[in-house]
Amino acid sequence: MTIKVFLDRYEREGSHTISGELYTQCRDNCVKWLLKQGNIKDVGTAKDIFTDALLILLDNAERGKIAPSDTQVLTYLTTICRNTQSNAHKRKDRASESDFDALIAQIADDNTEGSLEKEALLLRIETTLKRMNEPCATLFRLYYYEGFSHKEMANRQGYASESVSKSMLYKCKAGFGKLFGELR
Amino acid sequence: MELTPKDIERLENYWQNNVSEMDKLALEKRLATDAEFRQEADKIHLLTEGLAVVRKRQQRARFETLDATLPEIKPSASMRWLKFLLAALVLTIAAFSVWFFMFKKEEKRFVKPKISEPIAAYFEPYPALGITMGETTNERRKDAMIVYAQKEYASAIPLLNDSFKETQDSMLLFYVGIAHLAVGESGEAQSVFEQLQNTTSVPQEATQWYLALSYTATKQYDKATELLKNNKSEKYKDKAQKLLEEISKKE
Repeated sequence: MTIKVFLDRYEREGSHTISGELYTQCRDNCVKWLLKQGNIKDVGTAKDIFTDALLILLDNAERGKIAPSDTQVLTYLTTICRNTQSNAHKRKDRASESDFDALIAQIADDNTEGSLEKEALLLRIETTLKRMNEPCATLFRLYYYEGFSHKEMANRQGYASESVSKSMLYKCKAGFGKLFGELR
Repeated sequence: MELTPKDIERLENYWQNNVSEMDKLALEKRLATDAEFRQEADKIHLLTEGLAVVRKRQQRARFETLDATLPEIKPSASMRWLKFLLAALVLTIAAFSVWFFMFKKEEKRFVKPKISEPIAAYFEPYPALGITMGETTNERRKDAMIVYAQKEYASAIPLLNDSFKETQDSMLLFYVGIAHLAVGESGEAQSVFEQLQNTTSVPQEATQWYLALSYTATKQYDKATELLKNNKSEKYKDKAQKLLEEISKKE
């Protein structure tokens, strides 16, 4: 599958289905590459690196950081694997959570009430998500879990445009913040 | 205080560096001066990043579930075996080379006499004569005879032949015949001794004796018997008698 096809499907279908397909199609090649060329000793670590690479690919797609091209997704993933593997010592703190960790540290410094516990915060976020009402529950699921774009969410939800979808999501976030505060 | 959806949109654009310089300055001023706004903004920022983390963790868990349904990946053993096999091959070649150069070469230099079985008990190399300076001034002949005296018969044959071509001394040819017999080349020995029959410059009893041995080795017992019966020399007659008895048993 080329990057062009991947981005097109990502835009139309969201990340859920296509990420599963990519995991199934690319796992063996990437893991074997890491074991042979990447000097990785065990299958478990190689799979972990591959999963990180796939999450980076999805994150880059969501942020619009990937340009459409005829490059194979497998090649792209192998390149990410190579970079991720060469920075293996940094992987103890997963890159995907480093922004959140930095934010917690910053807010805790500014917060006179004391420290913030990361895992407790994440648990509260998950609990809050489960208590959200419609249409916010669906919008959050589509945007944060399925990885749909605002354009596709607008189509699915029957909104007039992308901007309506965006506006709805911000409204839901405001409500999410309020509910999160109430659950304290 | 509650943030409006518009506030959240502005803040998210600000966190993603997606705002104009004027909006950025205005927002930063508000964050610095309005403590309540700052507190709510921090909360929404934390929730947005937290949602991303929750999402990634769920994606990871989904991949793990999917992974459990896929066939297990086994590290390719073929490459390891190939490396192991290659290492074993290199070691074998190295060991063989050492053995060949250290032992096989030595073995070739000191070829033990390979006397044919029927004459093994009777064969004795003729004493090497003509080595001392008093006997010869020819260096090539001397070297050939030294090699013969050291019982390096295979090496001695070409040296003796070269020296014979140079000197035409039949005695050297005589030693060539004995050397052939010593390394088991009975046919070549026979041909040499046949040439030397009736040549006065070589010891004839010895020539007859070695020719008889050559015939015995090549199983030409009639010819051998005739020569042995005619050999009346004190040195060979007892051995000739014994060999005749042995040949008669074979016949």
